[in-house]
Amino acid sequence: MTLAAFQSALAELVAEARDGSGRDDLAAVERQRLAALADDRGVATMRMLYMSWRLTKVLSLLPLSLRVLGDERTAALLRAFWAIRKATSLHFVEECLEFAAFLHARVQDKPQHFAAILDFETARLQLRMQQSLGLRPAAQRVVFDAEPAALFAAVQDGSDLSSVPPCDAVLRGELDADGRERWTIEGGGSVLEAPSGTATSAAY
Amino acid sequence: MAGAGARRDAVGVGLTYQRELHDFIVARCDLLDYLEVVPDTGWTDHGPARTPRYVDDAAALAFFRAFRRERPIVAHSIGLSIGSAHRFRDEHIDQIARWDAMLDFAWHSDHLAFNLVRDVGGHEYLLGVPFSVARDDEALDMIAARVAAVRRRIARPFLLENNVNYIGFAGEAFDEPRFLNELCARGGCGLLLDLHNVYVDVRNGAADWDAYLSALDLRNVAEIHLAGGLTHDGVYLDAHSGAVPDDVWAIAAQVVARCPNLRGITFELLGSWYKRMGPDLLAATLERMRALAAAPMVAT
Repeated sequence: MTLAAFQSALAELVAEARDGSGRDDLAAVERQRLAALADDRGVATMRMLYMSWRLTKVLSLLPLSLRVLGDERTAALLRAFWAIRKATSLHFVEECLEFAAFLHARVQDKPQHFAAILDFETARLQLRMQQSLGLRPAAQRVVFDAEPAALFAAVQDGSDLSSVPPCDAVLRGELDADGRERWTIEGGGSVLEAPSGTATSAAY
Repeated sequence: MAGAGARRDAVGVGLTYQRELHDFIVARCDLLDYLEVVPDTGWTDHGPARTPRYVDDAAALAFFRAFRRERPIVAHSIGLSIGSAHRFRDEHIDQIARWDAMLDFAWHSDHLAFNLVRDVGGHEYLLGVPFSVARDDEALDMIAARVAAVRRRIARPFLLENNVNYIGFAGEAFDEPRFLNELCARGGCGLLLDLHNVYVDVRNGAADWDAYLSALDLRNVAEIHLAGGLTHDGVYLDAHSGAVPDDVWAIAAQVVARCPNLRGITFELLGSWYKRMGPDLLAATLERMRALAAAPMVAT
């Protein structure tokens, strides 16, 4: 059966811009179809939709970290990550946890406060991951050296993060009985509203 | 089957559930005869290596169960990937069957497409976007057999939705209407006719309304989807981004009156566009759909 090979080659053409028209496991008509699609506007459209699908999930789940990194750096890191990690689920929490670990390992010259912000968003993903596994999520602790609420606001506003007042703080996060996140500052007890992510895209 | 001039009180009006629409649905459920849910978004699939593999979103499921006590639920899945040639997702059918046992679907549907592939290393991955199937005999035989298998597993009407065709393949054995006609005849499924998907193809030069609708056997249509879209880099996209285009309303008025077995007209709106569309326009859209659904049949 060559149809499976054709679909695989078509997917690679769209997702990785790889021309598979020379594959020897295709029928002649399938090779011709792939060759005809090489410069097709529809392939570019499908590639944009595919990239958007993957990108919006990451932007939704790691919005602050990626904002601190900036568009150019984020794009380069995503390209590197996607080269080794394909999507295997409609649910992106696990993939984003892997991407967060990738960022921790790969980002050199980390921007100020980047590590704490990434830790915070990783902790949020851990809560969601454990919940999605049907487990009672363990409380998460994240250490900050700047006032967390002011830091989050500065990231969202695009302000200079060096102007955020320094402060030793530990955020503790857990899910309440209704599955809602609740973040408090240890010692102080005040409740912090977690920033929301960005929108998701339509593919269907 | 309804005849010419008959009124069809069985045609309902529905909305596809999105989390952002939750409050609207609760407040304006008077506008809805049924709720269409994308079941795949109501569970987490952790993949075959984990146990349990599928974990339900308890809050979403509780809401759907509460809604079901008042009105029907229909399922519109995105995870079957019925056109994937390398394998059939039996596990997905089992999961739909499990939810059907809880929610008593009036009918269920998925897309005539594939989004699951196997790479040259033998690893499966998801594309996230519904890819068109090359409409040849090999695909027809494969999908018709799978439709029959779905129907044996789940004793509800099963519908396939026409895909958006951003990519076309030279020399296909069938055009889309005839491929759908054959699938319905051989597999026993019905058709979810997404008029906005056809409109996207028409806008992008990949289809012609008259040719499409004259070739399609409208007796197979059990549900119609309406939606809005947008243009990006010169290509019109099925973005589910708001108002239904005037041309789609006009075509819908013609088509609805020619579908004797139509059971529902559903509006699709991506949750992130809800604020921009607003509750008033959404309510007006559903009211216009109700008027559409009440139109009498015309002779074909």
